[in-house]
Amino acid sequence: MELPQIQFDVLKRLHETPGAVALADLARALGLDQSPVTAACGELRHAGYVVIEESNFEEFRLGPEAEAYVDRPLPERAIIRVLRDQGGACPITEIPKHCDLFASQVGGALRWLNQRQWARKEGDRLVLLADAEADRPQPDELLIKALARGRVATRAELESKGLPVADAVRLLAPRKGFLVVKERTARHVALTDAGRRLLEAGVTGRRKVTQLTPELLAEGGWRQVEIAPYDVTLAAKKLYPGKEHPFQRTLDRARRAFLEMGFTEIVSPWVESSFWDFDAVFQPQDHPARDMQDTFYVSRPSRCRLPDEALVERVRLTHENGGGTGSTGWQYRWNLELAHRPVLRTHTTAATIRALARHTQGRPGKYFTIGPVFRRETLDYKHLPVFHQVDGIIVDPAASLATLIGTLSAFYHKMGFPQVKVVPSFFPYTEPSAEVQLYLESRGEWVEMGGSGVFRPEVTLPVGVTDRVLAWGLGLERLAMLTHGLDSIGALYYASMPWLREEPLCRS
Amino acid sequence: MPIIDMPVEILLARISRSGPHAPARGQSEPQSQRAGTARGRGGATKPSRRAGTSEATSGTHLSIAELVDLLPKLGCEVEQVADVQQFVCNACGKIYDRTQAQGPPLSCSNCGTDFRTSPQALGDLGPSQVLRLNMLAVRPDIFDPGGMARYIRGYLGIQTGMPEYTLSAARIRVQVDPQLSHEDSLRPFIACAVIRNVQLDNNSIKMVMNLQEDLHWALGRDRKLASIGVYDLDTLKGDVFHYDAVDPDSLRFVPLGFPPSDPHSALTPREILERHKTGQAYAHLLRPLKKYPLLRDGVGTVLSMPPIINSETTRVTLRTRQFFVDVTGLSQRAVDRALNIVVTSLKEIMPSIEVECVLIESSAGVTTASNGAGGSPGNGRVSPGGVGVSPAIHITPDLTPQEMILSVQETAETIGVHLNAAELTELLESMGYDVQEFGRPDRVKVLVPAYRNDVMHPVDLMEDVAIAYGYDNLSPELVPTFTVGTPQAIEEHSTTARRIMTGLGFHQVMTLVLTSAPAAFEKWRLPPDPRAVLIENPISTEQTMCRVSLLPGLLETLAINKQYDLPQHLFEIGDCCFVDPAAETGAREERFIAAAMIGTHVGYADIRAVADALIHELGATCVVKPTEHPSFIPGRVAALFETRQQEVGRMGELHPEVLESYGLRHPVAVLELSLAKLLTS
Repeated sequence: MELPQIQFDVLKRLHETPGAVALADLARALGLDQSPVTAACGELRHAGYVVIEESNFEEFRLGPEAEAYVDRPLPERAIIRVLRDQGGACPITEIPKHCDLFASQVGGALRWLNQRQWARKEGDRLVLLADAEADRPQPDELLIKALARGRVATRAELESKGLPVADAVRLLAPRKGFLVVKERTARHVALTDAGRRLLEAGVTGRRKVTQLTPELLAEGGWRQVEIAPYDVTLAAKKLYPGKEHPFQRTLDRARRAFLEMGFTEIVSPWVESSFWDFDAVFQPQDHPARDMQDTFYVSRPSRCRLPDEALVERVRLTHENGGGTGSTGWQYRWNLELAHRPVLRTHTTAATIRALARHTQGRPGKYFTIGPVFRRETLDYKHLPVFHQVDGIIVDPAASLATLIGTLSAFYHKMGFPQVKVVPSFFPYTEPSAEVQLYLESRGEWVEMGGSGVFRPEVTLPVGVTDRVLAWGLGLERLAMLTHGLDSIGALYYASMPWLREEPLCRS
Repeated sequence: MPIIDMPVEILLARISRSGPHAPARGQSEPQSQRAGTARGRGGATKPSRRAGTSEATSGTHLSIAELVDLLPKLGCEVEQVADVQQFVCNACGKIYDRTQAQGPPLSCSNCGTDFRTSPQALGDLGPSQVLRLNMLAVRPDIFDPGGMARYIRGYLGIQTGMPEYTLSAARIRVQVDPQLSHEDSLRPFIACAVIRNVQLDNNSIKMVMNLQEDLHWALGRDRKLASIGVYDLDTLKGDVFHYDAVDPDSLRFVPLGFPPSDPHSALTPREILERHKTGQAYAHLLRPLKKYPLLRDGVGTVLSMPPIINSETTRVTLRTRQFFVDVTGLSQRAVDRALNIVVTSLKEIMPSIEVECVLIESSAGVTTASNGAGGSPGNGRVSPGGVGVSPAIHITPDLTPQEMILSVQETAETIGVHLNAAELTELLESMGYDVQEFGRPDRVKVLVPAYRNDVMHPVDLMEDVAIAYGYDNLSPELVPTFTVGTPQAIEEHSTTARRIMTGLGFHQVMTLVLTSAPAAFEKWRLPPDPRAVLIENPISTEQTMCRVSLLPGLLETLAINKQYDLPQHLFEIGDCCFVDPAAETGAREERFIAAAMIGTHVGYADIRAVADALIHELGATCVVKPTEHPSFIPGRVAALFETRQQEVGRMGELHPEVLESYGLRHPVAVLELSLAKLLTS
C-alpha cells in the first residue's frame, strides 16, 4: 500500500506524537506550509485514518482606543490622583489644570469614577470616595498591560498568567474601541485506529514530482512517483506568433479580391511625369490639384522623358480644343515643358492610364494596381503625405455606370462591407462620375471611400481606346482604420509593439 | 470642394414658386406621368421624385428633411443644417452667416474692414438657418439659392426645359484699351450687363455678394481668370464707359470701405495695393504689371480697379435701383460664363429685374488674342473650331445656348439602362436642357444653357441624364466578359517572403516611404546617396526624399517601442526608389526586404541564421563575404552575393553610434537585401 508522500509523513508524525496535534504545530514539525498539510489531513480524514477535532476559543487583542493607555493611566485614575493632591475634592472645571486631560475627557470619565465608586459629584465639585480598592491595579488595567503593543492572546493563555479575564472583559466591554474579541476555531489532528493499523501494516510514501523527466521514463521510475496535478485554470505566459501587419492584410484582401474577379495586376513608377499623372487624364495645366500647394514636385530627377510624340500631340490637342474627341477641350494653350515635370504620383490612375495606353484596342481588359500615392498634406490624425490606393479599370463594350456600381459592390462585399452606394460627383477625367460610399453599421452612417466613373473620351481616345472604360481610385488606409478600430492613420505607420503583437489576425 | 451656405427658407420659397421665365415646352404635360414612363423602362421601380408630395406642377412645398434627402442625389453633399447668426458689415453691406462655433467675423472679406478695431462696423441681424453644402466646383450656376432652386425645380418636374431669359437692347457701351492685351498690363477680357428695376433687402444683397465671391473662387481661380464687380448705376454718368490700363500713380480714388468724407481716403492704385486690406490680399495679381486695369464711367468716375477693389462711391446699397455689372479677366470663357451666371441667377433671385445688354468695343488686338492666333502664351484663348469671327464690337451677356448632338443608344449604354428618345428627352428637360429633334430617331439635339460651365462633350449630358434617372435606381451588374486574373510576380514573391518571416516569429511593420537625409544617412554614418529622389517642395523637414533603404524605418519603429518587452523581431518588405537615367521618368522602384532583431544577447549569429533560412526558403543561394560598412561594427558585417556575383544585400551588428542616434540601449542585428535582385538571379 502506498500513500502520497505528504500523507505518509503526516501519519508517521502523528504516530510518533501522542494525542491530538494542532495543525499549525504539525506543519511546523514537518517543515511544510500549512495549506498542503491541511489538504493532506483532509484526504486522510476522508479515508478514515485521522480525525480532526475542532474546538472554539476566544482570542483577545486591544482595540485602537486602548493603545493610548498602555503607557498612561486611564482618565479615572488620573483624576483620583488629582483629587488626592487637592485634598480630596476639586471643582470639576479645574481638574484639567492639574493633569493632562481635556475637559471633555474629564466629563467622559465621570461615568467610570461613579461605576468604580471612586468619586462622587457634589454640585460642581468632585469628591474622592477613596478606599483601598482604588490603589490596586484593576483587572481591566491589567489586561491592557498584558495585551500591550499588539499582542494577541487566548483566554486560556491569559488565565494561565492569573489574570481575572472575566472581570476585565466586563469592565472593558462598555468602553468603545478598547477590546477586540474574536471567536476562532482550532483544529487538532489525531490518528485513528485504522490509521495506526495502516502504519503498522507497513504503508510507504510515494514521491511526488512536478516534471516527468527522461530518467523517470527510461527507468520506469514514473510508476513509483505521483505526478503533481496542476491548477489547469491558471493563466499561461503570453505567446505572440510572428504576424503580418494588419494593414498588409487589408492590402492583401483587396489584391485577392481583384485577382479573383479576373483583373490583371499592374504597376507604375512613384516618380511620374506630369504628362501621365495629369495631362493624359485631361487635368488642365492650371488645375488647382497641379499647384505646388497640393502636389510634390521632384527636383532629382529633374525631367521626365515623354512617350511617343504622336500621343503627346493628341493629348495637347485634346486639352486645347478637344482634338478629335468631340469635346471643346479646356480652351487654353498647352505647355509641353510642364508635361515633362516629374511629380510623386498623386494617384494610381497614373498606372491605369499607362495600362490603357498599352492595351490592345478592341479587346476587353481589366487592370488593377495597389500602391502608395503622394499628396502634399500636413500630417494629422486623418492625413499623411503618403497613402495607398487601389485603382482599377475595366475596358469592355458592356461597361456602364450600372456595371461600375456592380463591380464596386462586389469588391467591397469581398472586403467585408456589403452596403455600397454611389452618388453624383465630379472628377476631371470621368463622366459620369460617382463618389463611392460604404454604410457603416457601427456608426450608422455612410462614409466616403473614393471616386469612380466612366473615363471621358478626352482620356481614352488619345491613348487609342474607343471602348468605354470604367475607372475607380479608392483609399485603403481608411478601410484598415475602420476594420481595426483606429482613430489615427499614424497608428498604421508608427506601430507600437503591443498593437502588432495583440491585434488578432481575424477581424470581421 | 467648396462649402456653400444656402439659406433654407429662401431656397424653399424659390423652389415652390415658379421661375421668372416662361414655362418650357412640354410643361403642359403632367410631369409625374412622364417621369413614370422613363423610370419604368429602366427596370427600376422609382417613386416620384416629388419627395412625397402629390401636387402635380407648381406650388410644391418641400420640407427641410426632404431637401436634405434630395440634394446628395444631385451631387450636393449636405454637411449640416446649421443655425446661424447673421452679421452685416455696415461699411459695405456684406452679410455673414456664422454658426455659434464660428463666432462673428473678424474682418470683412468684401471691403477689408477690421471689426476688431471698428466693432461698430459689425451689425447683428438676428438668427437664421442655412444648409451647409459641399458643392462640386464645376457647378457654380447652382451656388446661389436662385440657381439651386432652378435646378431642383427642373429635377422635381415643377418646371423643366431650358429657362428663357429676356435681354433688353444695349444702351451703354464700354471701350476697351488695347494696352490691356499687352503682356505688361494684361487683363484683356471684359463682359458687362446692366440690371434695372432692382429692389434690394438684406437677403438679396447677401445673395448678390455671396454669388460674386463664390464665382471668384470657382470660376475665377481666386479672381485671376475672372473677377466680378457690381455697382450702383445711378452713381455713374454717361453711356460710354472706359476699361483702360493706367499708370499706378496717375490718379486717386476712394476704395470700398474707406470713408469718402476723409481726404486721406483717396489712394492711388499703387497705394491701394499697399494700404487696403483687400489690396494687400490680391496685390500679387497686379504687381507684375506696369499698368493696372481701371474701369471708369463716361465722366471719369472710377467704378473699380479689377480684380482688386471697387470704389466706395459706386457701391451698392439697400437704396440701389439699378446695377452695372462687369466681369474682367484673363480667360474669355471664364469671363463670359461668370457674367451669364450672375445675370441669370440675379433674375432667379429677383424675378422683377430687367437685364440689359452692354456693347463691348474691343480693339483688333483683343479679338486676335481671343481667337488664339496671338495673345500671350498660356493665357490666350484657342478657338475651338480654328476659324473665328473677330468682331470689334460684341454684345454681352450672350445667352445663346450651346448645341450638342446626343446619341440615344450611347447614352443608354453608358448609363446601363434602356432609354428611347422620348424618355431621354424628358430626362434632359428635367435637368434644364432643351431638346430638339435631329432628323434621326437615334439622335437628339440638346441646347445647353449659357450658364452651364461644365458641358464640354456629350458625355457631360449623359451624366446629367444619369442623375435625372437616379444613381440609386440603377441595378448593379457585372460585365459578362471572362478574363483571367494575373498577379505581378514580385508581389507573389513578397507574399512568400512575408510568410517565411512570420514563420520565423518576426512582426511585419509598414513605415512611410518618404524620409529625409538626416534620417536616411546622417544617423547611419553614411554620405548622402546621389541616387536618392529629392522632393522640390517638401511639406516638412522629415519628408524630403524617397527612401533608399528600409532599415531607417525599422530602427525608428524600434526606437518608439523601447519601453516594451525584448527581444523584438521586426521586418518590412517594400519598395525603395532610386534615380535611374535609363527609366522613362528618371527613377525606378526596387523591392527590398529588411529585418531587425533587438535584445540583450542579439548578435551576428542570430541574423545570419535568419538570412540563411530566408534565402533557403526563397529557393535561392547566396555567398557570404566579409565586408566593411560605416553603419556596422567592423568585422561583424557581411555582404550577400547571388550566384552571378551581384551583391544583393548585407547583414550584421549595427555600430553603437547608430544605436545611440536612435537612443537604443540594446544591441541590434539587421539584414537587408534586394528581393528583386535575389529572385531574378
